Amino acid sequence: MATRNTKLLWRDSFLCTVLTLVVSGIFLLIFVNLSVLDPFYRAFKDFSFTDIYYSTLINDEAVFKDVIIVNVKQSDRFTIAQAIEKVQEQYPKVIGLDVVFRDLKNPFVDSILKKTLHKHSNIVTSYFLENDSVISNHNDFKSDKDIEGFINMNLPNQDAVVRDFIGVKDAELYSFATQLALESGKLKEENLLKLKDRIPINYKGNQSSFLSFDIDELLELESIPAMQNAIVVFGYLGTPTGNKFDIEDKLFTPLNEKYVGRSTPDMYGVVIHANIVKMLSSNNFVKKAPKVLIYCIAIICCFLTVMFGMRLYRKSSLAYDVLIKFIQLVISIVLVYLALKLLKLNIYVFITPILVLTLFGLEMIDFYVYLVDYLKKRFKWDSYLLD
Amino acid sequence: MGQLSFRLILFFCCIQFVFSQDTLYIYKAKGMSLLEIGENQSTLKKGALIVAKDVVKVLSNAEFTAIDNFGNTYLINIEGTYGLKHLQNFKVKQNTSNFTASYFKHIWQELRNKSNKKALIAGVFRGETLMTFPTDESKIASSKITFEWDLEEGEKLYYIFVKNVITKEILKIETNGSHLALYDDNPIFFDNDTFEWTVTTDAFPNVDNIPFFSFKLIDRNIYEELKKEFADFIQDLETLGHSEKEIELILCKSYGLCK
Repeated sequence: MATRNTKLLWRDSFLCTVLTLVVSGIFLLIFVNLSVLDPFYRAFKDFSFTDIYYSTLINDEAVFKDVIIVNVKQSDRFTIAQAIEKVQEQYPKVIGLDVVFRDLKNPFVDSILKKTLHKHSNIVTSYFLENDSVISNHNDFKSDKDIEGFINMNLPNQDAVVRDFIGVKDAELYSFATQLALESGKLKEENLLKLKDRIPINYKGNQSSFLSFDIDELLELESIPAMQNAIVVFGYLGTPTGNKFDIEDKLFTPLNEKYVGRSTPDMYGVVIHANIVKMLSSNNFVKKAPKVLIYCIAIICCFLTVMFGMRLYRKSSLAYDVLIKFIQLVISIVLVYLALKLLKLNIYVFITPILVLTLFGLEMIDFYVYLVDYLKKRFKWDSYLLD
Repeated sequence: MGQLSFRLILFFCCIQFVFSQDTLYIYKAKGMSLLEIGENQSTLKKGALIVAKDVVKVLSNAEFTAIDNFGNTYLINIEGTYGLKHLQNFKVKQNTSNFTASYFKHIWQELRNKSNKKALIAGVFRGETLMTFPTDESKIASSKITFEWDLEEGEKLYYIFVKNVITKEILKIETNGSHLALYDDNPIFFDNDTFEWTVTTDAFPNVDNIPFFSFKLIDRNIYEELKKEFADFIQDLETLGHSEKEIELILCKSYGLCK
């Protein structure tokens, strides 16, 4: 009798898991395709449970000096050229310009900037891809020795929240951060292969985690020994530096205090580049669990929780109804905890499918009971859940 | 075997030397601290390097934060003279709260809906102006121009900007109090009589985006002329028993006409 029950339990758990997969698949299709439900889909699409790690739980207060940021504010090209020269005097490993000088403005000032850019071979300039066209510095600022990197953050399939990046696109286009890490000699060749796929950014912190200078402040200083052998990135950090109301070149990241719902962008683009450079140069990558593995784990978790739920249902349907919400809460807390713990160990697991299928599987037991009840009446179907 | 042991010891000594914290870099500095390298002395500024043989003098009301190669931070905010080894005693303790404890604390706060609820206002807050004197559009008939401002909690240093409205020339002064006096023989006051001033706690503010109060330097004759416009008011104040000094003060505070 016990063996028969066990067999029935396994069969019912399997069938309920299949039902869960089918129904959740249908729901997903409805969410994706029905425009009336689009806001819900969009709201959930941009949410990741692992954001809690960066926004709330990360407490690393380290400050890094190997990647230094210079805030160009609204400075003119002459000031920027002067600042580049000033930085070059400190013997940095490489200088990155997260600024695109698309047009010519003033012939005299442009000629000074051009001379500065052509004079040094350790400058990485930036460009971006838009609608199949490349937007980069004006040809006058370019030379044969140019080292360029793309600064796009929203490459296909990426959300508004910058969680990951592509370091190498189409085998030959390198991102700005990749170029900086390569030129500094800190990115290992074998790691370059990893950058062809989207990989999560291992954020170290916001602006305060990096040594940064205001361009005016930089020009006032006589010497800056900290810049020796450092990677110096010129970009925009607000006017004045760190102005929280300035959202030019500011993006959403998992570090946003408000990780769900509406909020304001939290990190300047140049700080995102600095985080990526830091990750690449210290070979501190986050390993991303393959999708196949995640969906296999999701199905197994769904199956096991359904089995547990059915056993509880069989013992007492009242206890099941009373306890099910509490069990779901505990399961979600534990699963998110495990995902965050793995992230702390630099392993990124996309927990949403596991969480959704596991919780949904428990919800589906009630519907499955109705289904087998109907099947029993119609086809004399045996079930673990029916006496 | 003995040779191997010797090599191992030598190797570990080298490792120790390589990873020892023999340098610090300045992350941020407030106030005046001095760096002595041999016989040379210079002001300690952001990005500066401190090595083993250097000596740092931290003057009163000054502080600086230094970082080492591993990202550790050191906050030095006590007046004194320090060598590198002493500075390393000021290491800021990292927040080492347990990850699991932090997570469950966060979950508990979420369940209790104990999130930080800030006041939500639909208006522009302009409470950050510290300037108290001279008030906006003041006229000052004095060779001594005293600037006064409110102090902000936790801020030790203030930056006064005096701008010549015609030449756009700006005089910037760092100070640690709530007032500062300048005399009209200061070069900034040459060539013009109308100026603007502001005070901030930020050493490098965007001067195009912060409020300034304007003031005009006038001579005694103009002061007396302008004072006549308030003759009735002055008479009322005299009737109420105010002294001449008190009346001048009221005119200055209320109408920006100062002597």
